[in-house]
Amino acid sequence: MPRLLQSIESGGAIDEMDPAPMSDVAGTIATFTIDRIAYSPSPPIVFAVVDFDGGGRLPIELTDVEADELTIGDRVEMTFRKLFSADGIHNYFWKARPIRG
Amino acid sequence: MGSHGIKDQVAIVGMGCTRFGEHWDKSADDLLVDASEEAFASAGVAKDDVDAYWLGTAMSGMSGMALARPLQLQNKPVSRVENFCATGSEALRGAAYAVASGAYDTAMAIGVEKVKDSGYQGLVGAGKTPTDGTGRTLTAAAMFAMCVPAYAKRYGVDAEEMREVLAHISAKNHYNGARNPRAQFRREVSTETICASPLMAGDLRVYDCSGVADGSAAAVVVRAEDAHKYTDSPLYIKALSFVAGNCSGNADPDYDYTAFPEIEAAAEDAYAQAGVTDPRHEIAMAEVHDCFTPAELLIMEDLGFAERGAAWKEVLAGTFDLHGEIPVNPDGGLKSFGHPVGASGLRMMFEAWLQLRHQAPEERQITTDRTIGLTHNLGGYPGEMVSFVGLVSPELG
Repeated sequence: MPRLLQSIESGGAIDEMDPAPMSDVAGTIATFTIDRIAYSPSPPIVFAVVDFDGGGRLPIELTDVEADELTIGDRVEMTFRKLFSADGIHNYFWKARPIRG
Repeated sequence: MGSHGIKDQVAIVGMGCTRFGEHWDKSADDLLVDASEEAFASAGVAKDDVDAYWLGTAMSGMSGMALARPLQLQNKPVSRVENFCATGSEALRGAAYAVASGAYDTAMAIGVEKVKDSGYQGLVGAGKTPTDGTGRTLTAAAMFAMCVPAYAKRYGVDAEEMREVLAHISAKNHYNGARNPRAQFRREVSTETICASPLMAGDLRVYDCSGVADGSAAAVVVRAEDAHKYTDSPLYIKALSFVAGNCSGNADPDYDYTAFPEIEAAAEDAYAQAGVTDPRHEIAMAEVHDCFTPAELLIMEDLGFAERGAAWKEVLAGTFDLHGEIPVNPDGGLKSFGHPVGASGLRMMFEAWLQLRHQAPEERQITTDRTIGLTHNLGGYPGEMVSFVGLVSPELG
């Protein structure tokens, strides 16, 4: 993750943030969009602003999702997926998917 | 904020603006010559009479030489500036503050962009800084589409009403643009056509998105006390405000995508500089950054033209139509002009220059007792944007 030099909530403290694993933390969709124009190996790109349980936010691509059924407030979980491939190199990163049942 | 402003210290005494559109036969140099020549003639000055220049361009040239070469300026200072989609307004800030400081008697702000030839949308190259490759690659349309479900849910607007609101904004701006010979798209578009156009991103359709265009616009500024040496009808700068967002909306769950805090802050600062206390009842007309229809909707609330959650009703009531209480984008907006990034802010000011001095064509001249015009840019995305708000008036005091 990018280094956040200063945090508003910590009163402008520098380099005093602790790493926190979020891979097993669920979240809720604050808002979302469907990009029918941008390139993706799995178009259209479904993308949401996810607020994690207990704090923290990440705008992130969704996967394994029915775009037409998406609403604000839906619950999601993290999953490690392929973003792009270029020159034979695969770039993996986190996506979010709806929590089933 | 700690800005003092330069109310009534600087006046615009001449402006120029090219037609915006597909200028396949013109380079950025040609457009700069066209806009500057019109502005020089408008102010009754020659290029040698202008002491310093500010060139706004995001991607059509680097350094002040991008202006000095086509205009063949002789030993003049030229600053080239960039600030996302507020680049043209940033050029005006530089020129106006330089004159207010006393450093120069006369300055020009000029903006240009050649976007059509690039094959891309507005801000090409602006995000080309090195990254770890995990960032999003969404279109601007998709980013602004995130405001639609957020606004609708928070204020209880159903999907059909929301579509009607966005279509009204688009139809209004096309109606105005149809009455402007400098606009790229000069046809009225019905709400039926807008609502039947192809989906681009989220709920946004083709006609909810502004276009791509080439264009240039320019302004000559002088000290207010010198203004009448140049023109009988100067436009005085009341406020110039700018906020560069810290991108906290991407990380802060308190940001809910129903407002643009950077715009609200810039507007508050501009109103304070100008002494405006009730924008809804003091602003004569506004040129705002309608890159996508939901942006214009939220901007109406950020600028204080409507209460939070009420702008959608005001849009439908015609408050911001050409002959409504506050005409918004009477020239047709980005919707009709397209968005040559470096030029748009000055294109907006050109419309304020025409409207407030009663020199707009009859078919779109607004009628009002109010005297203060507003221009506004945003650059970036919901949660992470820069914002400019400017106020001008033909009257001192």
